[in-house]
Amino acid sequence: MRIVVMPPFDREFFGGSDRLELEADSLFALVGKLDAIAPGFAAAAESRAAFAVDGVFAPVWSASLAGAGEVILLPRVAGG
Amino acid sequence: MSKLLVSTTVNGDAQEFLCDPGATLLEALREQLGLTGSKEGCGSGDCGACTVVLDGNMVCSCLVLAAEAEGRQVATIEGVAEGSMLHPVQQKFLEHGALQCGFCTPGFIVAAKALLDHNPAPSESEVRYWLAGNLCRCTGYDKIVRAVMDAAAQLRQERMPA
Amino acid sequence: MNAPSDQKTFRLVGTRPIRPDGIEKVTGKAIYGPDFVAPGMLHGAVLRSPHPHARIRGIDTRRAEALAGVKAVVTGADFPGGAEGTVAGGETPTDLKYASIKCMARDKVFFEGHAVAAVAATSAAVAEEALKLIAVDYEVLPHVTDIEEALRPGGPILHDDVFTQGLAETPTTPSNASLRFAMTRGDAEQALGAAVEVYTGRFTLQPVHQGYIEPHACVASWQADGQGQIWCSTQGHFSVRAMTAGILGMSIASIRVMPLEIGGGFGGKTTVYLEPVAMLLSRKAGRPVRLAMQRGDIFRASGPAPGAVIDIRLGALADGTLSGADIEFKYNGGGLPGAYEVYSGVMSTLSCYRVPDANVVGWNVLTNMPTVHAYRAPGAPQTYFAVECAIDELARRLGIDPIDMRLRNVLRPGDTDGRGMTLGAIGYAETLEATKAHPHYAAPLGPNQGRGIACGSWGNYGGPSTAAVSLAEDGSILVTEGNPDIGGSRAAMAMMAAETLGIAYEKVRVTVADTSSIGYSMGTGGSRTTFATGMAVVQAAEAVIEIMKQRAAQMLGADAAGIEWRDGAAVLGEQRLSIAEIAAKSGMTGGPISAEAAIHPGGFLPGFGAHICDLEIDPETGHTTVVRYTALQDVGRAIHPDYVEGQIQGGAVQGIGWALNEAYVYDREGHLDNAGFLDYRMPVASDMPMIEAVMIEVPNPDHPYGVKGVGETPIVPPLAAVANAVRDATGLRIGDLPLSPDRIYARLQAAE
Repeated sequence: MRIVVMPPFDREFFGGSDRLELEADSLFALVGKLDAIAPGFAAAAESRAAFAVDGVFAPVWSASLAGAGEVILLPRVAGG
Repeated sequence: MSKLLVSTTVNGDAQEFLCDPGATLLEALREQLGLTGSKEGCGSGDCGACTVVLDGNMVCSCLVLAAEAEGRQVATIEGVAEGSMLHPVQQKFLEHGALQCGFCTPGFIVAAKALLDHNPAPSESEVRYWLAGNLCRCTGYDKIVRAVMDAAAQLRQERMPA
Repeated sequence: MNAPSDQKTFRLVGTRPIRPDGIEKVTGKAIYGPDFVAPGMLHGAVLRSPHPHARIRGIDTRRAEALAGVKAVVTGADFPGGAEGTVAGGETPTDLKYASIKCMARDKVFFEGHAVAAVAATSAAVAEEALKLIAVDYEVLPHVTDIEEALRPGGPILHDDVFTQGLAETPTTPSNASLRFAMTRGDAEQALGAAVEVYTGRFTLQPVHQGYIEPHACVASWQADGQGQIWCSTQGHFSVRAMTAGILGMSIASIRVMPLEIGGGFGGKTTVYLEPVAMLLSRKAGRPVRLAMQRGDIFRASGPAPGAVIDIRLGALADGTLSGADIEFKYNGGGLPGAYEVYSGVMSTLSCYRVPDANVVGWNVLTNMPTVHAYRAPGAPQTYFAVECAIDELARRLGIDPIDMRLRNVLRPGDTDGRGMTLGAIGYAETLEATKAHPHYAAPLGPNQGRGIACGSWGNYGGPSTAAVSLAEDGSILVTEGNPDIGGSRAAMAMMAAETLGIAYEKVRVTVADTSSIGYSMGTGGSRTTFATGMAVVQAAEAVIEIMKQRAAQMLGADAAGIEWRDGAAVLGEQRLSIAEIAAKSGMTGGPISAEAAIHPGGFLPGFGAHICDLEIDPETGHTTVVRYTALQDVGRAIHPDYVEGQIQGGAVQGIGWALNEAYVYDREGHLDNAGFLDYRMPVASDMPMIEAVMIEVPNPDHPYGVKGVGETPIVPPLAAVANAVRDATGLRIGDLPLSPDRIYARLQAAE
């Protein structure tokens, strides 16, 4: 499964790389794996990251990633 | 500094209140008389949220001293409806969705009623210029102007001899 | 053109009933932030810095404390240290450290109007008098309010602990550039090199204020057992609770926030300025304390939207295909870091177009201005202004109709946007087709008139929401939700509940509950309320239907599986039980009937608008009059069309104000020169024509009634629609807002 890491997380946590290959059963599991690569990521993600699974926003981190091809990690922005 | 005793008439009722010489009519209405329908948006006469009618003249109550109300007639938003019967301007604001947050609405309704009291058939342009002293940030004025025009039409209808 | 793609028909959705909170708002009975009075309440006042940038060497409050009637004085020293971390849970994350400093300065003031001390006294007059007795020892520092001056080496640096985030290499010196955020796809340089036409330009915008008419106001009451209550007007009382608790080190459940009616917000009331200060004053005084801002304070010290400098190169092929873009913008973030407009700005740039090769870079630049805060589609109107003006120029050069040019590039369902998100049932092309077919587009223009077209988009949001639906004993329905009603949302909630239950609109009453009376709901913002909270209301109503079917089965001695819900009744063959009948027997079938839905929905879709602006310019004065304006928008499905149209009309007029008049004007000393409604000129009724709002309904399949957010999108297109109309009328491309008479007149004179 491809993980597309958008700014600012790419530079902030992953040494500038914006493409990772990881397998995970759920976003919880994925965040755990990303935190192992970049300690502190999980705490940051909880307050300011959003995920899209195959192009669709996924606010529920327990949802299954079985069969997912791509997860996009991007900053959470709500609006005014 | 001693307070002034002011005797006035608000929405037809005799009222007395004590105020500082520098207090505004808006402060007296809101704080002494508990009439919080008149709003303060700016305190400088620019937004019209505090619009009331004083002896038949539309004024920003934030620019009038409370003491100036002595012996005069004050009409506020709280007196626009007759009991539970809404004034046509109020009814048309509801029917046209002419309010969003509703904060500027009392000032607009008092101003619009004042317009229709002396001009029963205003043009759109006359409505827009009459209401130019009332700021609304939510609606873009479209539905407000339509509501006032519609209220004017209804009032004309009601006044026509049967 | 207004043809829904699915032909579902509804009893109530799409009708225009009178809003349930209407009468109290047209009779002056509704209680807004400044109207609330608590027994024994004290009056507070805030001392604000006269300097845009200064170090606080000391504050002497002793004389103020000694004044008769003064019950409490607080300064930055009274705020607990160590308020750190972010407030999460839905709201765009807020950094508590800076939220706290925004409420009250510590060792430095960062903008004129920054709070430095506050007083609570027995009357407002005594509180004001006490402020004069507070002596603040300032060491005045050089200041900067201009974006590019703030980046110039050797100039004043606001924070010696702020280093630019988002750079490839960790910086070693502090900078006013607090954040760099970039999104890159493909090879922009190569694409621009291969383009047939490249428009290169610079655009500048000044900060503008949200301009809600109701001033910020609250009453806070702290009790000796550590519990507190707050009555305030806010877009999100749950955020007020979390921020106040976080800043003051209280537990969240110990604070109960009662939402009063809100007099406009537009994003500006999604934070706290007063509530933690009032709570501290109350803690010291032992009595409830009211704090309110004056209009001048609001302009000087509450968040405007960022001004901007935008450099753009946009390339197109001969057929109008946008082939490459290189855009760099700098936003004026104001005094404190933490603004998110750069994130949303970058992600919004080109968000409705397919541009394969694009490089978009945004910077947040700190200056001695109030810290910017969300304003309707935060961060998007600025970059869209540059992009839509550039497209207009490219269309002219290529001889292509401006709507056709956009149709060639606009995203369609199944396309991926710049973030890599695949977009579902979007109605961008339908909206543009409707714009082209609208009679306005073909109407003749008079002398000195011009017509401009521009588009805009906003991503919208979902976010967490809780709603409860319960039956009263007679079968009437109570909906309880947690989103302040800023523009008619109670009506939409009642309609969706009544539609779902199959009953009359008037049978449903809606309450916006305080933070202790309903579960967490993210604030009214992000164009999310009718979408997300509406979905929670529908789900709670559906759960109530399931309970009622069970109860009906008990009453009929039947199996619940055989019972249908039809037209507000449980139906089994010929037998029919109404909600009233089921409610009447609820005591005998298991007790009260009630259900709650607490959800965090995805499935939101962005909004898209296309605006047509006709204006006339007086060549003698440079004065501009908007003579006709049409705003078309993909709204998903309108629950209550009056309030959807109202959002479109109001947003359009805010955008027109931004384009033509509104701007923060600072003098050389860093003082705001126009901190009032007389000089900060928002549109008034006589400035505007009717705003024709055209709703294009392409329903969102992921919402039970097809809702897409509508509130924010309409402020995005007007800036360029107006500027493109000025271009059409005069031949002048003016990239600097506002397009005020003096600016247009000077350019007309220079062109002669």
